[in-house]
Amino acid sequence: MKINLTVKEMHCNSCNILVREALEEIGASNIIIKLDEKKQIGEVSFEFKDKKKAIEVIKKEGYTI
Amino acid sequence: MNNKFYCPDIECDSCVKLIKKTLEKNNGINSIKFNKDSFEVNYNEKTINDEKIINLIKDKGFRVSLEEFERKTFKERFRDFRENKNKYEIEYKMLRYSLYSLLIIIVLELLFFFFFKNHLKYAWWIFYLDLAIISIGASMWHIKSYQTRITSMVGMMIGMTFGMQTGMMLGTILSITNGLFLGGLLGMTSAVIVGIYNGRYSGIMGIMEGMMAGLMGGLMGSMIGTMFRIENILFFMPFFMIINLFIMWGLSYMLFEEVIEENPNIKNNKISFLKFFLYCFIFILLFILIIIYGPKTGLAGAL
Repeated sequence: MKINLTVKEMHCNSCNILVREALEEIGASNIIIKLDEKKQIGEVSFEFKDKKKAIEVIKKEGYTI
Repeated sequence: MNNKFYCPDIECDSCVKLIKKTLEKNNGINSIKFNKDSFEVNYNEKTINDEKIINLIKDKGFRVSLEEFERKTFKERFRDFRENKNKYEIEYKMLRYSLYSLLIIIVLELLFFFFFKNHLKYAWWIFYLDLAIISIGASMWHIKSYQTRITSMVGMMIGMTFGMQTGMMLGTILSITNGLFLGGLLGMTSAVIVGIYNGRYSGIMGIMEGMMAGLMGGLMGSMIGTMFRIENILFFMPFFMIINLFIMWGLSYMLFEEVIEENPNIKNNKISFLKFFLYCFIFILLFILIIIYGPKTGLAGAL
């Protein structure tokens, strides 16, 4: 299932890697992150079966959705 | 074993978190302590070593080293600049582009003066205007040619230098030719705009610096221009412009030293010569028209 999320408070390359790694750990695939450094928003899209779980791990890294 | 790793790219909590997470995935890491620009790792040298730690962090896009990041002296940098032409490709391009633009624009202006001999009295000031706009444009091209994070400190310097220098140069030139009113008004507004435009790379801090420096530079420059006697300012101007140009070069030097050198995250943004030239040309033309046809106040009418 394709999931698109808008993640707030992402502002740098480190945030990008943190979110990517968190998603990779739960087994998401085709992860694409577009970072808008000015608005501090990341457009995150990936394929994963459980949207709730994905949101949970991103929140665990300290970001809001 | 305890060791200190220098890492000037740690900027925010996410960076700290990322480094911590990356290291803690490995066996043998006992504890990590973060300082500004460095972190100390206590590790078991049987399972992990310095080199591995450095490579792990480098993979995440940070500059990291066991020794403090040293700045090159001016002499070393100059030698490096002459010997490693590939490394300084964009900087060489900047110099080339600005030289070509200056030459083309001077030729066009000579043609213009050939047909409109009555405007020849403005020739010196228009030449200084060319130097001012092309040097500011070249520095803007330099910054825009790279895409990377810029720290607040460097961003503030960038905003401030642009605001101040634009105001100083344009304000002085315009107030000599058109008087304090137009010099002050245009020097101030253009400097504030340029200051904001370049300060925005580091958000509100850079924008504020750019605005304040633009305000100050624009008004100071226009005052210098109006207060001098015209015979004296012809001698004053070359020194003034040389110092200003050195400051613009210094800005590019600082940008390379603080942001570009050894930065693994840097991306090149290709901006063509045509675009650079056209922007310079349009702004120079605009200001020449203002100098010649704009209102003249005070002593400037006598020019």
